[in-house]
Amino acid sequence: MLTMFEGAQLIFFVAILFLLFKVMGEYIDFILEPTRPSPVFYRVLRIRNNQEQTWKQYLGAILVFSIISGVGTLFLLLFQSHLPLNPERLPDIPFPLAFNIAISFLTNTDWQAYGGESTLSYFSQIMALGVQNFFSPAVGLCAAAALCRGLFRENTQTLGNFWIDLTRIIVYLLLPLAVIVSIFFMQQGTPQNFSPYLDIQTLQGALQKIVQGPLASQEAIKVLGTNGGGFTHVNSAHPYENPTMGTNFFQMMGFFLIVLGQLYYFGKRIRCMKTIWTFFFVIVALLVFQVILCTSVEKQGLPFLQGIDTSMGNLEGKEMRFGVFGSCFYLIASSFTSCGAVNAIVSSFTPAGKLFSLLNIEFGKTLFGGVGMGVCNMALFALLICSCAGFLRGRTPRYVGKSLEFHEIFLAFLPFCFFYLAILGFVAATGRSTGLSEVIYAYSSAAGNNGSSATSLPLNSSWYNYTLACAMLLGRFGTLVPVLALAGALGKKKKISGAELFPLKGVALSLLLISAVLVLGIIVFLPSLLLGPLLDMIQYWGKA
Amino acid sequence: MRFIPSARGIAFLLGGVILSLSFYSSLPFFWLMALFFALLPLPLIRFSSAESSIEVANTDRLIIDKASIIAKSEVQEIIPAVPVSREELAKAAYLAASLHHDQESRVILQYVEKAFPSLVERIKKESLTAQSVREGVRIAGHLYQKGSRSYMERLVADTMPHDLESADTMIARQGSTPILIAKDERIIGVIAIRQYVDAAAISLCNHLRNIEVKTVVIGCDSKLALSSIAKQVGCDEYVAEISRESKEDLIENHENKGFVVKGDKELKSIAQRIGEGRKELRQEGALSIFLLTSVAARSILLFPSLLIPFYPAMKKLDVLHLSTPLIALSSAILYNLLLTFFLVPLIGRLEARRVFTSMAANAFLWLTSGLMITVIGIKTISMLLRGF
Repeated sequence: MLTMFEGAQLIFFVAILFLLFKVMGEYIDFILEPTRPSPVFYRVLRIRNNQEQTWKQYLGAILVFSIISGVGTLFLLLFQSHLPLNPERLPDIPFPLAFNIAISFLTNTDWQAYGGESTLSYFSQIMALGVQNFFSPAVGLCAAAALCRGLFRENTQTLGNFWIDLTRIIVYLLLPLAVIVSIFFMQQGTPQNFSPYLDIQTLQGALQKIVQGPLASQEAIKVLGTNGGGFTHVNSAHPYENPTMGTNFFQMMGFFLIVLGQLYYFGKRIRCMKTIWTFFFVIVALLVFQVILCTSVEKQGLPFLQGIDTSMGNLEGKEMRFGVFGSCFYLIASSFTSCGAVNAIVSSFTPAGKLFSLLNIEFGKTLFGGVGMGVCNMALFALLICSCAGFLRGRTPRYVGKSLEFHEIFLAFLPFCFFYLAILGFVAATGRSTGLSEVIYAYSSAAGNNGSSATSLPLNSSWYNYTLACAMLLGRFGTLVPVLALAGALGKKKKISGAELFPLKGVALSLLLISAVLVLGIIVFLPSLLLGPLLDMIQYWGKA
Repeated sequence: MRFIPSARGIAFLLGGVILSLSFYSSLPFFWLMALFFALLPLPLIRFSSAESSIEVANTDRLIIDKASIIAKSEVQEIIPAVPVSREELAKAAYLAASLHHDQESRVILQYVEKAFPSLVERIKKESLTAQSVREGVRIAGHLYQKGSRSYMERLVADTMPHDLESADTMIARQGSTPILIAKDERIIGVIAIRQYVDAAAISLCNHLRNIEVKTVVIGCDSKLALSSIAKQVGCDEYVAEISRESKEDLIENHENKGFVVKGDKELKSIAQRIGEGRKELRQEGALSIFLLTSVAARSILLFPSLLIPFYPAMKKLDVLHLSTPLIALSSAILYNLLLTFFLVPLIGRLEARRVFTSMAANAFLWLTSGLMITVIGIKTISMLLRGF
């Protein structure tokens, strides 16, 4: 169980989430649905405020933007030795890995099959990954805004303008927040420079390289955009990436900053605040529940180790500065928001501890998630619940006042199918029966656009680089395309007068939500979980 | 073909899950096929053609023409204005109604023929040429008109005589319909028509309220008269004092908004169709929730017991102790058959009765029963199988 101090941290964290929910929500709403005149650079770029796009145009703009930025990233990585800001003279990145990196940062997954400090030059870090760290959450949030408009508007063909949404999100939301947060990180001790790595002779006489570079700025957007791709190999366990307890706490808060804000914005726009508050409470309750459970499991320590004092719990692969609770809390918070940053080694957690993270990725596709895609997934899941339970009212299903037909329900179900297909299909195709849990975790993390890894597999091989990239693409665009099609289809509909917006609320909704998550998750994932992580867990405890 | 969207999607997904499972598990393929039949929600593959009743099921408001719910109406009394005689009023009413075929006119004609036979004979002998006007008749240089008070006040220049005003209100308050009679722009009297609401309509409106359909009665009568009729028959709302043209508009308007408007005998059939459609949709919802939960429960029960021969540690997760994998699998297949042929009709019948009124309570009922019945069913069948 938790100590008093740990409990206090958890309570403080929840209280801050509670405060931020409304503040961030109102701010995002203010940015995305403005009535102000267009700023100067719109006029320079000849973007007109009133030039709205249909869902096909909006999707087309997203795809064009993604392809251009993805290809750009790929080329920067392929030719990094010819580019400036490379004091360590790091070589060009081979194609399979460069492809994997480009896709992983394009899809907000930030899967890392490489060591950041030993593979990427400063220029690649900033211009390839850093820029994508801004673009990928912004694109996700644009899709969420389009879906939201499709739901609250009536008889409309248009869903807003992608380019306007994109610039607004980056200029008004991500950039200012990132600047503030990086200044905070610099104050706490994170370096921000372009100097070469330092060679230090340790007390024992060995030589050690100390990483330098623009860490603070990378760290800020890694957290805010729920990207999770660290500057160094060990991610937030590195003393430069996560220097103090303060930054550790702030990073966990940063995951939730925009994720919660977008939820509030969504609820405010579709005028279902009661439903959205229920979602909020369910999420917070699950977070607290999981943190407590995961910490208790990890504190039991390793039953195999004979003659070693395990009173401090399972400390393998954990930073002593954060301890068991700090690591578990960080892991749960990061997997909840599909961020994927870690401050401990996931593969060193006990099987039960690892399972929490895996369940958050696999089952949690339906409930939480990263910037942009998270709220889309929640909206889709709410739609599926309405379509199933809505029959019990004796009417054909309705969602936020609009009648649902086969077309819409099909579109809402499609992203889940792609997600399941990407995980189970690629795990099956990998064809390993040993290390199954690690393979399952890898593909779940990729398809869920999470990016943490719990594995000792040879990830930097062609097979894993290409298939994981495919899983990421399926997870991201398999959601994005149906979401925009759904937004277009619902936007054309009229609201049924007198119909309630959402047929469920309060305790009933939260219970139904959790049971629906469990039923769907069990049907799809139980067999694979049984053969992988659950088997690990039973055998692990069985021997103790 | 109808579709239980998410539930049937699950059936397809399940196929994919088991197929992918076959690649990385040590289970023989034959077992995996058997597993598929043990888990697949068979009743979801059902065809039905009742599209129309489902469209009707979404109706939330029904507009009823007043005329269609009146079983019988008769003239209660006629009250002439001060200088006018009863016979003169009767003659004017007879002439005003003579060229119209609505219920009101018929009642007036019948009454005058019965109460003033000599008057009617005299009128028939005159055999004048008459010209039909909107709510009356132009005959031999005179204009005879009839209608409700608001209608008359718009048509006739003359204000209402004082004595008739109180009579009009009194009649309406008694629940009858006052009809004003005018001769040449002058109101000469009022006829009270007593209307008896159809007993069948009362029970229909009750039924409609039970299945959450609002009823709106519309008619050209005054507010007081129509509200008393609405109260008698049990309608939720009423729209009074509408003219013939505005009635058409109203009906068309509501039809555009998705409300169904029918009169006469169709009221009964439509109420029945709404009830049927709603029942069917509720059964669909109950079934899909029950089946989905049941599939999840079955996979929790089945998979560990199937994997025991390969991984003995799985015994810990074999909650029900289903002895051998063969017994576990065959009891699940038997349960699936039992579910398809016996439990599904039972669920349908239960949901038709509507166990709880609230939707959430019903959802939980089917969630928990899907779990409990599956657990109990599979355990019982496996015990029976072990007995053989």
